[in-house]
Amino acid sequence: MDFFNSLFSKKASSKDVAKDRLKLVLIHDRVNCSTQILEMLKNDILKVISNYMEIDDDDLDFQIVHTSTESNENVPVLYANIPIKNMRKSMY
Amino acid sequence: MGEVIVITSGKGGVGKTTASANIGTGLAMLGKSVVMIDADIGLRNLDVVLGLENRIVYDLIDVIEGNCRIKQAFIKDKRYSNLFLLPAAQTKDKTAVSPEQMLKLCNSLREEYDFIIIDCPAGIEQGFNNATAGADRAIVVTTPEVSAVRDADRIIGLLESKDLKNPTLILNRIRQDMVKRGDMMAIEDVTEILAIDILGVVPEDEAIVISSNKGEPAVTDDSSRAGKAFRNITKRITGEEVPIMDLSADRGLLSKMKKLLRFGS
Amino acid sequence: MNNSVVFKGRKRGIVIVLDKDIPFSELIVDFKQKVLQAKSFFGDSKASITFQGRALSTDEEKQLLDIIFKETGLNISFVDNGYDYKSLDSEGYGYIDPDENSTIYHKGSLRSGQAIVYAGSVVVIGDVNPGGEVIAEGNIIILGSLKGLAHAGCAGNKGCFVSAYQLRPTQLRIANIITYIPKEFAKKNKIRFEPSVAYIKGGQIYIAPLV
Repeated sequence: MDFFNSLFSKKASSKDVAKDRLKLVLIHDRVNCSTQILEMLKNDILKVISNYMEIDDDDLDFQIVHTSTESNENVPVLYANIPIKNMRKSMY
Repeated sequence: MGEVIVITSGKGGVGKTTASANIGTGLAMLGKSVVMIDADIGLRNLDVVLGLENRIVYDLIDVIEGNCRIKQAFIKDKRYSNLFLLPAAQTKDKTAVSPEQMLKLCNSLREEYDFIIIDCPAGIEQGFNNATAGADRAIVVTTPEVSAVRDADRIIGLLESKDLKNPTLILNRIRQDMVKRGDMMAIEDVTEILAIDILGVVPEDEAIVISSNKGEPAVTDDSSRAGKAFRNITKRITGEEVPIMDLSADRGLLSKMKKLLRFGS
Repeated sequence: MNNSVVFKGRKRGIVIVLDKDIPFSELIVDFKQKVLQAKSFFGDSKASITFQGRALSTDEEKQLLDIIFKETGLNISFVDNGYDYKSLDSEGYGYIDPDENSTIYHKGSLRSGQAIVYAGSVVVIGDVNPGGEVIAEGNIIILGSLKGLAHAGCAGNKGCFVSAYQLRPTQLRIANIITYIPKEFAKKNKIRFEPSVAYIKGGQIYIAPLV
């Protein structure tokens, strides 16, 4: 069926391919270019989390990665791996 | 009080220098006093495109280092006496200039001339920082290709971070026949992606190659379509409202005739 | 004060500027007087001498040099008559560098953005492309095509020359004179770019075939 589809359906014009590829690349570029912002974001998030938990500052992993979701092939995702040492008991 | 306009693109080879030469000359044709600065130090080009390469004695670095007065380094254009070129140095490197020095230079020129057009080097390094330092507004040149549009997007971001808000776009080397076939991004496709205002569209035109061979900008050529596009662009820069050129107009007829000929043979 | 003869010390020798209007018989009297006054100026060093301001015949030049020989301990290594450019006769080109160590040779072409700047003469064995530059205080000899910029005598010596197998520079400078060959002019006059030499004569740069 796929074979027939590719034979008879109208092929996407190369312009549309270009446009789609560009849009994806630019999402990546626009997100990537702000390492400074990423650093600020990280500090802010850590500040909030630290109110509730003790975290391991040395083993942090904080980055923007690209994953596939059901609706979209390639979307940027904020990925944070924050090892927890202990909960802050004083909160309770 | 004059206006300093930087012409930039990020990617090389999309027509920055051609655009600078044509816009500078076009503004001079409208009677404005214009200084064009070639900020591409070490890779100067604006002089050859304007046909002024054999008149260079002093250059931008000489001015900045104080080896000569600004006006000694100016090369008066062959055709328009209100148009001047400040050429780049060819045998020095771009670390010889700092953004502060460029800003100072632009501010002193602004006092006396209507427009200062800066031809920015490709890339996003020091040359870019120098070229944009004294600018009031920026024009981004791109072609309808993925690589050029991607770099244009990067440049727009950098311009905005330098407080050069609302840069405008020149879409260069459009081929209407390919756009029609769906094999080239159209104006709307590019502006949709980049989300900036369009200043003008320039069709691919042999006249551009011929004119730079001769050292005479296409904007002076009445029969050239690209020249007309640049005349429109310069009018828009001065605030006049000119509709975007209909690119399909005579190209359609031409290709029809070509088809007929091919059919007959 | 009589100014018919003026001595000037230059980095690589002495320049003697001569009045061009008074008769030679008067000039030679002034000259001798000046030499005697300026004995200490000459010292007993080795130097080159450049005559400027007046055309001298070989005989006249010899008379003047004899005075310097007799009256001073100066050891003249080279004489350059800066006014009458003698390069085009069999005697060879005008300014021949007095200091044998002051010529550099560059093997290979100079491409756009490359430059040689030297306080002597320069020989390029190769081409000088558009955008390439040779700037020399002395002569410039290019065993190839000169398509870029050449500046001979950049410290002001008008006796310097530029020669090349093909002399078609973007721009040509000798001493303080700047020129270029307009494209239209080259076309109209059907200029053939053959081995040539460029030199100053009467305040203008001339180009003449070498062979």
